[in-house]
Amino acid sequence: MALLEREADGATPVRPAQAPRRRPRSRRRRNTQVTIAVVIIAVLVLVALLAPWIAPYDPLQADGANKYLPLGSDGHLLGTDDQGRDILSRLIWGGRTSLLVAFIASFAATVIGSALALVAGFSGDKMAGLIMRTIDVMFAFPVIIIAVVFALVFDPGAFVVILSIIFAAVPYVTRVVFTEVKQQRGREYIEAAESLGAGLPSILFREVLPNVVSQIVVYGTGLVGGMIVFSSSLSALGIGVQPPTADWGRMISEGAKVIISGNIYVALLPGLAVLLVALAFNWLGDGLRDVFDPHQRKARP
Amino acid sequence: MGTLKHISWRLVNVVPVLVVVSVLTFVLGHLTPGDPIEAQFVRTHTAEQIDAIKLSYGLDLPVWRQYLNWVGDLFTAGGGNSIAQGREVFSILWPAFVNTLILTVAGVAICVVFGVLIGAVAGLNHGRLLDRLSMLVVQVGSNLSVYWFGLVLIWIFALRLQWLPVSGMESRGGGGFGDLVAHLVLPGFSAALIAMLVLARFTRLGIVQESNSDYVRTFESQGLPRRRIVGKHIGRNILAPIVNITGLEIGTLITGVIFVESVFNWPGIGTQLLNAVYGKDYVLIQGGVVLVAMCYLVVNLLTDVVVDVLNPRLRRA
Repeated sequence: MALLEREADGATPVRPAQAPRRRPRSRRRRNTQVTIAVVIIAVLVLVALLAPWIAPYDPLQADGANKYLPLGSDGHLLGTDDQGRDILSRLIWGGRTSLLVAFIASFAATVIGSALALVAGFSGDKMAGLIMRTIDVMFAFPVIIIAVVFALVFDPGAFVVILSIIFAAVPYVTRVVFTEVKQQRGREYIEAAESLGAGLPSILFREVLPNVVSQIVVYGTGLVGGMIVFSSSLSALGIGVQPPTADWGRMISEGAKVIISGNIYVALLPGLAVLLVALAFNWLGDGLRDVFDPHQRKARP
Repeated sequence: MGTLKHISWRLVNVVPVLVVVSVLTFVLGHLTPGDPIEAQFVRTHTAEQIDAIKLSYGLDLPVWRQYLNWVGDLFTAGGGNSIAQGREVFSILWPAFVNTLILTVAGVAICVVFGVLIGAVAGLNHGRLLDRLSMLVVQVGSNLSVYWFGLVLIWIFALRLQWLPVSGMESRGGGGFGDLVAHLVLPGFSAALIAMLVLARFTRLGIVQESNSDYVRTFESQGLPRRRIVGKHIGRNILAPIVNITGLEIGTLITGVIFVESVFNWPGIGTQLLNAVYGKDYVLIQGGVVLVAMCYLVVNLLTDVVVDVLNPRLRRA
């Protein structure tokens, strides 16, 4: 997914020669950005966790008498959908599904990708070549095709989304972490560990990993944002989370059916929720990068 | 000579990738739980008839024989017979594939034109308001769900303003080229969205980097007009990376196209594949996967060749 490419392509503004004067202000802005991101994420996670207690209605309860209530209706703050289900309640419960799927998948992809990168970085050129070539093939292969095959094998569901996300994200994680790991190769501390007789696993996990873990965390954080967007599209397509479970992607596709009758907000609201979460995680990722690695910004061209 | 050798080396490299893709596709197809043939025919056929159908699909043979038969079918028998529709897979997929290709080409065109345009506007106004504004658009846009973006476009331009058709590929009764273009605008834009913004980002970065390079400073000190520097020198230097990234983003674009087909009821390969998922028609999906994979590899190869011709220095590096 192209969504993940901000690491490599310099979404962080390139700083020309005249930058120093503007630096303090820009740093402050970064901090506000991180604060906003943390607040958004914290609130949404909390809402998702507390869904059973704060959702005003049962997200699955249809109410034939109250279909298509507009925004701000009495008793239904965000209106109701084509079956009269309360949209606010569905958004709250849907966040639970969507966030959980994105978290699990991003975490798994980050772990797998990092492990591959560590192994590729420290086990000889042949192994590295094999892993990185495989990654190259996986890299830009249309993920949707993989998702379709997974959907065929495992039946559509959240599991398909998680697998597809892992497949989509692992190449990116591997490549980013590999670049970091490669830089550690040949450093003195590695040599020191080797000369003290440390084995490969010990070097990888006790020496190299602590030195690259901050980059991994930064990348993994940004990943959640991109993946929640992707998973919502997959679920909207019908090969992800299945009805009647409330899920943001699913809500978008259910809203798609009623858009022709002018009820845009049924699809609009879950989409905005996805956008909000995605932006928040990206801001957080960018902010964390600055916290963990202030040098990186200077080193950029 | 160098270029030719490079191209043939790349061609040789494609073969093992295709073999891997075909084996994976085949294996995954056979992992399908349940019995798709049984499910398809159990209401209409007797047990003996179903067994006969299974025999006709060669399901009694050892797996490696089945694989070889299937590869043979890909070349000679149109990819085997679809389980749900009974016809040759490629004869079902081909018209859909052409429709998808039309949408993809439109997507690529939109992606390149607007991606470079946004990137150039931002890059040439680096640090100014216009740059920040463009980058904000890029940041927000990159976080949009393609499916949702398509819906919002439909709502604004087809339902509210009624400038463009809501969905489908042609108006009832057909309507020539202009009609097709009108139907292409919204899905093309939605499908191109993500790839377009990636391209915009790279274009901007390229222009900013080149603008800060020594040769541009030299030209500027010699009093060369800005327009000339940008058009003739910066433009030429960022052309190869732009082509390269466009090629790399084809995968993203194909994914976008398949999402979008579902939103706009585009009669393409994505629609066929999704229907096949529900019908458990693994023969059709296997054929579709191989078809898309082939296209993808061809596009990559072409990109490589074009980049190689544009910038031979990269090869030596």
